Amino acid sequence: MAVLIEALVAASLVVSGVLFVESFYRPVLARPARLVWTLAFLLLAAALGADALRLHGFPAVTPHLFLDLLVFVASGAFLLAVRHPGWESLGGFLVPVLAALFIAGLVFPSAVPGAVPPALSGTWLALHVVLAVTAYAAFLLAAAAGLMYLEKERELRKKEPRVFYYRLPALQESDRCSRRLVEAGMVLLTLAMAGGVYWARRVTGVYWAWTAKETWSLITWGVYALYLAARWRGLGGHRAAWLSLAAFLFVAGNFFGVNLAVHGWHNYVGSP
Amino acid sequence: MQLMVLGVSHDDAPLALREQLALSGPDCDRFYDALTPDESPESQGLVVLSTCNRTEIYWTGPHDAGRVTETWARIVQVSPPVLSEAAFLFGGDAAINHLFRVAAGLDSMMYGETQILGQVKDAYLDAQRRGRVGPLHRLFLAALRVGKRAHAETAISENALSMGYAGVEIAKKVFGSLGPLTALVVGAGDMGALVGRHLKSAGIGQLWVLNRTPERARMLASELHGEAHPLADLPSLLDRADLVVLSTQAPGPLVEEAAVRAGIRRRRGRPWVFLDVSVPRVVTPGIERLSESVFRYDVDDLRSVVDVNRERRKRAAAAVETIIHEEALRLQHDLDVTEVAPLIRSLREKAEQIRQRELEGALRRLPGLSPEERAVVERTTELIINKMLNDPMVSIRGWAQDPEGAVYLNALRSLFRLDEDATSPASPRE
Repeated sequence: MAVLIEALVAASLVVSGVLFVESFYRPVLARPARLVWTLAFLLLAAALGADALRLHGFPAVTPHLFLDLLVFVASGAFLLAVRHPGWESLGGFLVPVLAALFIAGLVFPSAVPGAVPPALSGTWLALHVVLAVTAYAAFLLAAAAGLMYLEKERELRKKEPRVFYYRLPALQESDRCSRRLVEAGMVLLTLAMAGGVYWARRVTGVYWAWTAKETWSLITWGVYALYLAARWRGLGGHRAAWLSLAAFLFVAGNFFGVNLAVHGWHNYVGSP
Repeated sequence: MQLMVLGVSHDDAPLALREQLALSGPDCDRFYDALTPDESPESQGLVVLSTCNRTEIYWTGPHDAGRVTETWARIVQVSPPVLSEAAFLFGGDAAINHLFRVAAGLDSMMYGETQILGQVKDAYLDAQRRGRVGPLHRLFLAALRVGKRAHAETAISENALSMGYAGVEIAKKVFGSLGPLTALVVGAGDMGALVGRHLKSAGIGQLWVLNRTPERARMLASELHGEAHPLADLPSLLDRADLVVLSTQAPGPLVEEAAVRAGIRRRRGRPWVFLDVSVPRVVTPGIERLSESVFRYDVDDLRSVVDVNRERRKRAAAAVETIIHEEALRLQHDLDVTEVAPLIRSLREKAEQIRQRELEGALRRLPGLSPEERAVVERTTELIINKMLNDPMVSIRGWAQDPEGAVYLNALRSLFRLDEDATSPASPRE
């Protein structure tokens, strides 16, 4: 049953991703794209609920489930964005990425071998994970907004309106939006890390152990801190958009690189 | 219902003639009065659509085109042959199609414009106030639906078709809302004034007007609630404006690389848009390469944007034609069903009368029935009637949409001797 739902989520994410991209050219497809994507969102909610029941706890103890959660939160954020005029076009940039992330997550086993260790459960874990996932989702959306900025800017500078000139939000809107998302993401990431430190102290007696995950998270935090410092000093537009994309590489590295390559506390249950 | 439209539009009639033929104000009243309904007023509808680009008369009923032409010509004091020469006449489906195209803006000078839809609505409401819409009611509601759908579902009315407006549109693509922005308009001539007005109506925050002769700058500035400045202030104002519009004659460039370079530093990456609509150009080409935040459009650039916009509208027209086709079918279906509704009603009434009469007689002969038994008998008679009539009803609705169905409908009327008065539809088909 769980496999069936996941296959359906993957299929509907892919289909709506294709429809969202195609709707740049054929606006009539925007509605079916939204419908299929809403279906994916609801199915994913059902899948996460089923996981929570199965685990008797918070469903984020494997990379597979963590990615599911990330896709869920990012889709939820898109649900809010879609209501604003012009921001429906975010779907063409975001949903294909979400589909890819979700399918990448399927590579990891979703089942937990044995019971979740008591240290890896409870409210603190849930809080830590939710904050981290939401921060990542905010950074992902910021990068998508940065990409939208660059695409629209390219057509405006070439003075050849094609698709993005017409369909994407104004440059300054994408710029502002990307910045706000990073600001929100920074607050969340800071809280997630602070919560993690406190929790680590309670479970292991050590605040900070310089594991790969911790180090890499600190680097990610530093990169976004630099981004915000630059923005507060007046950086905007083209360079800020590139920076938001580059910074997201650190998030991706944090998840895929560190989780796959290194073992340790954060390596979830059931990682290779 | 035989629908006709007689009209003149910008396609065939020059402005001077259109002005003469316009049916506005008292002329419109006189026209409606002159074409009073005959003995069967419920079958007659009349709607006059008169704008600066077209005057069109939609009617249904016994009047022929000759009488409408003659009445119109008499009221506007133009000889009928002149009117006939310039006018077009469509009937039936062609007339429906024409009104739908007009409502969607496909027949307008400015392809896809939205103003005409409001004018169609006004014409309809005006005729309604006069109590003259009659059977044209459904047609006009359908036309308004076509217009609304065309604007909502297609790009037919999107994107600027004039250079001045295209410039404002580009500014919106860069900045989003123009509310917090300052625009600098250099040159208070026709083009400068035009762009200034577009900016004002797009909600620009602050507007500075510069002109060689200060008097003209002051005039335009006061019209647009802006500030007038002498041309000499340009260097000091330049980088404080987010949007710089230049439409002026100057012997050399007014905005050069050095000034832009200095401005970029002071603006700290905020976008800076130059719309140079002067010929020869007064902004040095290439300044946009100094920073990604600088955008420069000259006359040719704006023209190519307008061309792409026009192409987009034309492509959207195919989608509008689909909408027109759908709505025409829907209208036809509605009209057909409305037309056979009285026939269906009278057939049902006749059957029901027979049932009631026979049921009464039967129940009188069977006085010993319990209430339950009476109910069963009653229900049975209803079922027989309903089942018996079910197939004919389906056939009648089918015939309504079949051009040859009229024969069957007439046969049905004779066969069941349905009372002619009760069955003839409110708006007889030709």
